[in-house]
Amino acid sequence: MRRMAALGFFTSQREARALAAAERRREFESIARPCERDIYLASLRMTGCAEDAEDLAQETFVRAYTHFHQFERGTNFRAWLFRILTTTFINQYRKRTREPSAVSYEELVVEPSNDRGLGQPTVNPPEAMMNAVTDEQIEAALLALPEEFRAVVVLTDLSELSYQETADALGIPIGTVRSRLSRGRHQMAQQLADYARQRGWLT
Amino acid sequence: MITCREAQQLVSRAVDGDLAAEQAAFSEHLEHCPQCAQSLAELQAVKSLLHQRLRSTTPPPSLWRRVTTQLKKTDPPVATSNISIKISALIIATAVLAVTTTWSQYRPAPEPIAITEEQVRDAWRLHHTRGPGCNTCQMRLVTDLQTAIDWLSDEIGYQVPPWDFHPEGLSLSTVMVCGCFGAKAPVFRYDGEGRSVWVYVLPASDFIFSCGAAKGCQSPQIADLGGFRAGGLLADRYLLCALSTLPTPKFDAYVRTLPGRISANLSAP
Repeated sequence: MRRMAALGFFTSQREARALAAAERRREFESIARPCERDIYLASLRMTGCAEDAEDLAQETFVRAYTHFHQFERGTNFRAWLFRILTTTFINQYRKRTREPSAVSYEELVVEPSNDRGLGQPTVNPPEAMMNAVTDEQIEAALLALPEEFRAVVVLTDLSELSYQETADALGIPIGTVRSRLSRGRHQMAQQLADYARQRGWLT
Repeated sequence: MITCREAQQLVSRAVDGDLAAEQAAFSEHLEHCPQCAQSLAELQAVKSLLHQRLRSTTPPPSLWRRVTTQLKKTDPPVATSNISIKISALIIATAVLAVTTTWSQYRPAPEPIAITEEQVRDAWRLHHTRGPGCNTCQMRLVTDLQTAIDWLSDEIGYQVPPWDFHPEGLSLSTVMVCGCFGAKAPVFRYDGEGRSVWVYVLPASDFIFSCGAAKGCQSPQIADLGGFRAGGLLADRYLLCALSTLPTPKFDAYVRTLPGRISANLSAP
């Protein structure tokens, strides 16, 4: 009887559509919300700017909702969001990303967040990097990477996507993921060793 | 013996443990080549630094407010127009799954049950140590069946269907509402004869699918619940999923009958 009564609600197609939309929105929010932090983190590290990151993350979710009916059930929703994120980033935000030159070494050392003052100058670059570089310098080294490399490094090392998921998110072959990740990491290592050397942590 | 040039191409993959057949040759090379060994240490340091220093961030509260405001202004195309789907969309949950060793026999509704504090703690601990997606969980434990029925009806509009089937030989011990699957779902736990059966009634959602629990419920998060067997099928927009310690052939056979049973239940006057 309850079910028959429920049918009464659907005499109006318009009302039914509104209800379906509300249900759809609720469903989307329930699966998208757990991804909020991941998407924001990746946005922040890709754009290098909190304001742009919020815009990029918002646009990612809104685009995902707009295309929600195209999402293939049974596939990975989080990876799908990352794909939308990277596409949006590459198409719209890359030009707004701060140029590496805008982050000077002098600016970076004004107020380092984790200037630990530990240890002695060393000849060992990995050790010097771990001990000497500040969060700001790591951010700057990441931001100095070309967007294509940065996106791979962010997705793999920060968002912890697998090579295959990163490849899917960026729409590139897995071999390209491996080579971009390798070059991105090498470039960052060199940059961070330079920072450590400039500050006298690396002889 | 591989060359430095070849080894350099493997360093980044070695950081991620991505080497398979190449691993032995790579390790052998490192034993004789300090430069490549240092290269590996450097990339490991980069990965560690990124992971340790740049991951601790919290989205500003304004982000999700902006998203939800924007979503309300953006109605995407509705994928289906079938009226039965719409009816389903309104009804939050559809039916209770019963899991039994003797599938054809059902017994009458149980009396309201009492739950001990220990059971509550057990269920909570079990859920939080084994349950999928606990970071979003709003699981709520209720202490008797009638309270559960009332709460489900008031809170999420879920009308508990007539108690016309229950696992044979098992007693309903706990009724919970679990938010782990992206939507609040009633969970019924039956105990007895040294076994437990957990029955989830889940509105199908992409969150479940994204967990890997697609048709058949083979998600590691679900299938590996401490040796529980899991089975489930997609019926309309609901993923019907049951976890059980019972032998699989009968369990699987039973689960396969569920869509028809649920469908009949829905369309009956």
